[in-house]
Amino acid sequence: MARNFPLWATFCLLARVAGLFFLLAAGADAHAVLIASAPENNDILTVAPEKILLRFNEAVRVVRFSMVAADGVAREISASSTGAEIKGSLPGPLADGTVIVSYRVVSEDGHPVGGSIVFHVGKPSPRSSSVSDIPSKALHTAIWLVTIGSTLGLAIIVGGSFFNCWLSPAGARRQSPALAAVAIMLVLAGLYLQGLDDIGMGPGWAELEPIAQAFADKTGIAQCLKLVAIMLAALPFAPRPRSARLVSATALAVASLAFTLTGHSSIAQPRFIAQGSIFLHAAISLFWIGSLPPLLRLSRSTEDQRPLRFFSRLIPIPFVLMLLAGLLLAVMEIPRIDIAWSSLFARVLAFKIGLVAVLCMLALYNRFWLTAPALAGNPAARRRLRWSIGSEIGLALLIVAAASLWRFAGPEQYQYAHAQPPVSLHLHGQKAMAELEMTPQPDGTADIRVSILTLKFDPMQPRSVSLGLRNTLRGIESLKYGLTHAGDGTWAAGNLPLSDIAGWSVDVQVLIDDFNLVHLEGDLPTGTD
Amino acid sequence: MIRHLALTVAGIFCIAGSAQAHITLEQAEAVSGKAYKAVLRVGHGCEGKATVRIRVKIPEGLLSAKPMPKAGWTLEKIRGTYEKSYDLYGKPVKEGLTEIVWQGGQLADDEYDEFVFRVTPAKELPAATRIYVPVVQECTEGAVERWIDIPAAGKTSDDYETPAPFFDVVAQPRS
Repeated sequence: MARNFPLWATFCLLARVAGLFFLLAAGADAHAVLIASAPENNDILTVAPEKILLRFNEAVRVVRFSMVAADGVAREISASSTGAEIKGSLPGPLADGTVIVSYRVVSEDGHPVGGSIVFHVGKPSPRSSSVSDIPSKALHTAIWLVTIGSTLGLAIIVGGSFFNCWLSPAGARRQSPALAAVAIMLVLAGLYLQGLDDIGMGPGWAELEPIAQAFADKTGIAQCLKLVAIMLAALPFAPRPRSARLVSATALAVASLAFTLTGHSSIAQPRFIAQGSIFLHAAISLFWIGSLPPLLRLSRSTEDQRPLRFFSRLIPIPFVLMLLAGLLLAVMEIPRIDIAWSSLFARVLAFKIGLVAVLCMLALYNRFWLTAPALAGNPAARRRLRWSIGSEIGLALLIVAAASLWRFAGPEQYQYAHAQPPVSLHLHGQKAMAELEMTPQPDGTADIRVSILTLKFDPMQPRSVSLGLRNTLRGIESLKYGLTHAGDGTWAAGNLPLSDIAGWSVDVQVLIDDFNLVHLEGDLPTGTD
Repeated sequence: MIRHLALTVAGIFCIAGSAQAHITLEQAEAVSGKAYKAVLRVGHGCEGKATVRIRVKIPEGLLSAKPMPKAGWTLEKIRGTYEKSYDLYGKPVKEGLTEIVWQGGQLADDEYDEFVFRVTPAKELPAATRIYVPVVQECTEGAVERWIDIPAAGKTSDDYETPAPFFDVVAQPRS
């Protein structure tokens, strides 16, 4: 070993000389600069792009090319570079939302350069587009009322027909055509209003565009299924009891299927469990609500009491199944609402659970204390049973009303539920200080507001302020934002792609004058700290 | 041996790492109290755009700055008062050039050029002081690159995207 030492020393010396030559050769080169990209930074695209193109001022080699899509998952992008251009194929289909593409390239001089491109797929953020907030409130109220009405109508017609066909041996009473017509009108109105909401209009007439819009997603199909179910249940398709039973069961299945297509529970993972639970929950709920009016009628009259006895014996099994399916759905949703119980979704859930608890007590009272004496002909028990079924109808109305509110706890509400409370950060430098406040927005972006102060806490008037963001945790290279001077003396920027604050570090760059720049650096605290 | 190799490899990477071709000064060292020829090397424009103006801030402690005229560019010399009074060849100096501006020329992004001036680091500057010379590069279409980042404690110029060019003042060799 020791004998080889001079050889090593020579090699090392040569290597150093080579390094020096490298320095001299590289000295005259320029580092690579991103000149253009497609999509461009901060683009809002209606259709998700399949490719991303970056153009630099000189030939580069790709070291790392990755993206963070709206779902927060980081993925590598396969890239092909031809000289100064890099093409990357984006994994598809991209979900709507903000996409951050990060690159790290090495230019001819061996100097790595990193950066990020942010673009948005889908509608511009709801906050910026919902200029007309007041008409949409009226529209939302209308949608809510129509949804309650059509759901109750659907339950009374479809669930009621199922009850009549399967539990009343005396034969099915036809649902009144007037009620069916009202329900059909309500379903159609719901379709139109939903379409109006999709295109961002208030209540009004916009010809056929809302309908086309409603059919762009599954809403249109769901509403059509409800119409089919109502017609199956209400029209005299099958005169014989046996076929009538089959038709009523089909109607119930079709109506339940409609509920699995819409609503955000339907996209919870694993999906088939979520949709199966919704189907079961919807089918039993429709049957239960639909049974209440015929039961009320039966408890008034002294006619054949067998349906009441059947129902009383049978109902605990589906009722427990319905509760279990609902519970499963709630559990599947809870990880997504663990942070903000103040969100609309969570409040509706809590309210609904409360109503269901009251309903359970009432059902238990019915089943174990009232039904037997009522069937035996005890008039007091019969009166109480009527009162109890009436209360159940009231509760059903409230539960449907509460569940219909979930329509407004849509994807934005999720992110609101996910969003952390505003975080603030004090940054201290040698020549200046910054008070930074970052407010997460419902659409998964964040707004930032920075006050620049002198070391004596006096307000400062810098020439410009910019913000660098970087997330080493998720492999996001630096993003740069110029802050604009707000009227109140602070510096602000919006639409920062920070749905999750964890792992971000900030670099507030304060240009005091032409030649003086202060970097104020720090890490964003996570909301729970 | 392995340590030797590791050092060498590290050395190569170090050298390669610093070769970023920002706006830099050719001579890394200046002798205190002696004239220093500062050669600013401009290797590229601002994000692909041509350079039309170079502004150099003469930092405190660099005395009797004189720019070298450059064909195709007009010079602007801005005088100012120093924060302190310095001793230059036995005479007190309190003022001089504080900013030099070359403008009116056009240096394409794919071209290279040098901008030269001369200064004398004051004897009062302690040895081994690193002097940062902030430079603002202005380009067509209003684009600006500010080579003015001065590293905070615990950081080096490599940690910044647009570091200010710098040189080290070394003590006069004893004769």
